[in-house]
Amino acid sequence: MTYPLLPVVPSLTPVNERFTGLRHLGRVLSRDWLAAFGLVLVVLVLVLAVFGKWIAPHPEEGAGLANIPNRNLAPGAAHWFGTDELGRDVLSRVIIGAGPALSVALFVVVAAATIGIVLGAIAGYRGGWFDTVIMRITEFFQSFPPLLLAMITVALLGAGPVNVGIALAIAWWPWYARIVRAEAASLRDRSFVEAARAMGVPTWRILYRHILRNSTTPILVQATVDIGTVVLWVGSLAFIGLGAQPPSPDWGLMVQEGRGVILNRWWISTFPGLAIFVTVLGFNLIGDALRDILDPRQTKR
Amino acid sequence: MSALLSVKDLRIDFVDRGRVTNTPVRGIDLEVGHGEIIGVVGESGCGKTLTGLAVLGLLPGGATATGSVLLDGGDQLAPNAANRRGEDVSIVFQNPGTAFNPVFTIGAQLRNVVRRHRDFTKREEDAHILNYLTLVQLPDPARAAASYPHELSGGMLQRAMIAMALLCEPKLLILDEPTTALDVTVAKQILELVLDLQRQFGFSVLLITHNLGIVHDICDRVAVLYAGRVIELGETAEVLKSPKHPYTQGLLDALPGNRDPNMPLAAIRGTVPSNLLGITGCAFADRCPLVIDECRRIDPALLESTNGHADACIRTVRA
Amino acid sequence: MSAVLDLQDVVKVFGTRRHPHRAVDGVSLRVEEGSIFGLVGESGSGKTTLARCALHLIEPTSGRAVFEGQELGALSRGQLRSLRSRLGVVFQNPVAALNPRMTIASLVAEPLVTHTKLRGSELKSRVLELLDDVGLGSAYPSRLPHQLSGGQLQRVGIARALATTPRMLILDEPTSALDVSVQAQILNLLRELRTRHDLTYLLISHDLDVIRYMCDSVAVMKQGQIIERGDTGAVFGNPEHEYTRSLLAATPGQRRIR
Repeated sequence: MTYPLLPVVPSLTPVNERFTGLRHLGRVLSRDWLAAFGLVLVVLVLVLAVFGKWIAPHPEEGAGLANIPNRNLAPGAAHWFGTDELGRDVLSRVIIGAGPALSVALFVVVAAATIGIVLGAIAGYRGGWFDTVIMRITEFFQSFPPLLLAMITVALLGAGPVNVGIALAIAWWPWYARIVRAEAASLRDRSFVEAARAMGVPTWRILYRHILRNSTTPILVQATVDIGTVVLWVGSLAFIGLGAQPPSPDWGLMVQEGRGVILNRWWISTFPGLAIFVTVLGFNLIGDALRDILDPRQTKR
Repeated sequence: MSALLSVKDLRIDFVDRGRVTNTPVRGIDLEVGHGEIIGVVGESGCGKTLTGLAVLGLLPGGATATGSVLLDGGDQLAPNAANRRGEDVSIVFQNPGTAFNPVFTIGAQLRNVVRRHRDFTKREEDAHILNYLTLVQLPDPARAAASYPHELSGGMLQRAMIAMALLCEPKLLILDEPTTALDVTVAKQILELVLDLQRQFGFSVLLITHNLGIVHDICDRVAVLYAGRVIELGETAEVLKSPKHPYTQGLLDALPGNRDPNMPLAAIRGTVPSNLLGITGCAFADRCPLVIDECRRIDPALLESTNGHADACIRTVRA
Repeated sequence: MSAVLDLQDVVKVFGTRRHPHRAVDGVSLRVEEGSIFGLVGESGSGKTTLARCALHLIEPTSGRAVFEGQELGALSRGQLRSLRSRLGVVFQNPVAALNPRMTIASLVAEPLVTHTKLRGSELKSRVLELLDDVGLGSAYPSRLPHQLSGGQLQRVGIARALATTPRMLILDEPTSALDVSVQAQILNLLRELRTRHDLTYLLISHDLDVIRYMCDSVAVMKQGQIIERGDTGAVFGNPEHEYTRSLLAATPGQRRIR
């Protein structure tokens, strides 16, 4: 990664691609209100994840401290989202829950993408038996319903947020491997890759500079969308009791806790459910917008 | 006799959200007579392909044309010009490999064209298609009709493409770099075929090419384009033998054929401007060896000097 | 005179055992030090496959490629890689041959980073020197390929090929994607560079005019074999093989056929 080329000519920079990229982003957002809406949602969730402790009205309740006298209050001026069966402020629980939800999702996506990128790039570029083996393995993984695969893994490793992260990363890397493999296989025969080989550029550098750098768009788009999807799955695993355990402020767990009383005290399940929905929606919209921004093939003249 | 095709002050703008981003064609005047073969020659970015598409009434999205393009009296810039495509004018593209849809047979694709323009029975359609595939001298027309594009060679596909273009007896055939994707020996056969068919049917040909050699071999007249303008126009032999515009001269001098290998080629310096917005004066001024101050101020018009030979250089001495 | 590149009975077979396609079918040729050797043929004649065999980008099925006395097939991967600093290549389509996401400076620096110890400001000044050598000024290093014209990109391609001061360049249709006026610039540049850096060229082209203008000697390829060879003047002036004659006759611009 310490490749000394980028700073070669900083003094002679008439066109800064990063700035034009930003301007392009601004243009896309001003035209595409869905993308702008997605950005607002994602920023909101990110702010809650980072600063939740200071934003939540009752951070200690958010973390799990019971407050029995206040139990089962309907949404109102004092508790906007009401309180749950242990008297905890649901708003605070939802806000505090953003942090763990996003960090698990980020861990899963980074881990899965790293494994997938490395294996997929080598498989696509080299081809041959390595490619065949990797692709058969990914097919094996993908032939399971992913949630089932994650459930089995969690069951083997034991419940808990860290194990959920590991389980989901294991279920997820084949998707990245296949994306990167397809990109690498099509880039492999491109003229500039052959040119690099003809110049004697070492394979690892061809992989990094010529293959991966030209595959970033689909990877980034997939990773963005996946952050939302993983949040949903972490919630699902918690909902069936395989993820975070009480009293953790996990959205899926909270939905589960309110499930039995959904008809009488709808707010206990609904608001954490909405939090999951907003996160998934936001990252999906951003993912679509990223595809438009980054894909040069769709750039208008 | 009036011209078959009459292009007057054709301008094509690319517009993005109400703003003109480029003007690749900046006022082209061109007439094509009945039965004439005219070459439109220029380098990439000179506007030759866009001009061809405008004549066809098939401008790409985001492009708007002004001026007039009259084909046999009909306005090709009008919204209903598409109806006449195939009927009065048709085109053969550069790359026959991509101009056909790979999932249909050649015959099926030709049939689509016939159906759109003729009210034939199925048997008449078959006979018509076979007739044209025979006319373009495909060795086994029936088999070619039943073939998928990948089963034919580039030369055979280009023949089939020409058959498709002629199915409805157009008055004007546009050939857009028809032989650039082909080997020279095949290219020569294709050009001979076009000439042969032209003699039989008497249609006019607008040949778009970058190759002055091909222009020399088959065109009656030639229009040299630079930066979206016709900068020289005249009888082929006359223009190639005594070019008046420095750009035409430069193009001819840059050809490596029959040059002394011990001397460097007379290259035109610089490159074609990539955007033609806001050009004042002569667009060639920056590359011209004969440039004078006036060139950058005066927008040169295409003026006739000798009979039928016109050019757009202010330094040309005109009688 | 000694041969810089010596191809001996090179054969390259593609396809399956049952349907073999002999793309290169027993070609031998010697490119003499300081000469420009032309290889001419139509598409599918095997000329580009032969070039890739000569570079060992693909391994020949049989036969030997010898560069500066070393047989490429006998070299280790490391030796082959370092040999590539002395045997450069310029590709046909400069747009495709340059990574669209790398700046011009990093594209030209790539072979230097691979083969030399130049880094930092030394690397930077060498890159600028190379760009200057091919007629590109100081405005270009930080641009991306899509901001340059085809001719400018081919200059970048040539600069990268020259970066490691090679002895020989293989030029695979270096101007066939370019406009006539730009082609003349590039051909002139290639001739200048040859004199300036004592280079040997193997020039592959389908354009007989280009070959005739550029080359000392020429070989005509058809269906994987060389069917005629000799001094350029002799081959073009007095072609012996029927196919050479038909190629010459088909070149446009000689005879009006209308």
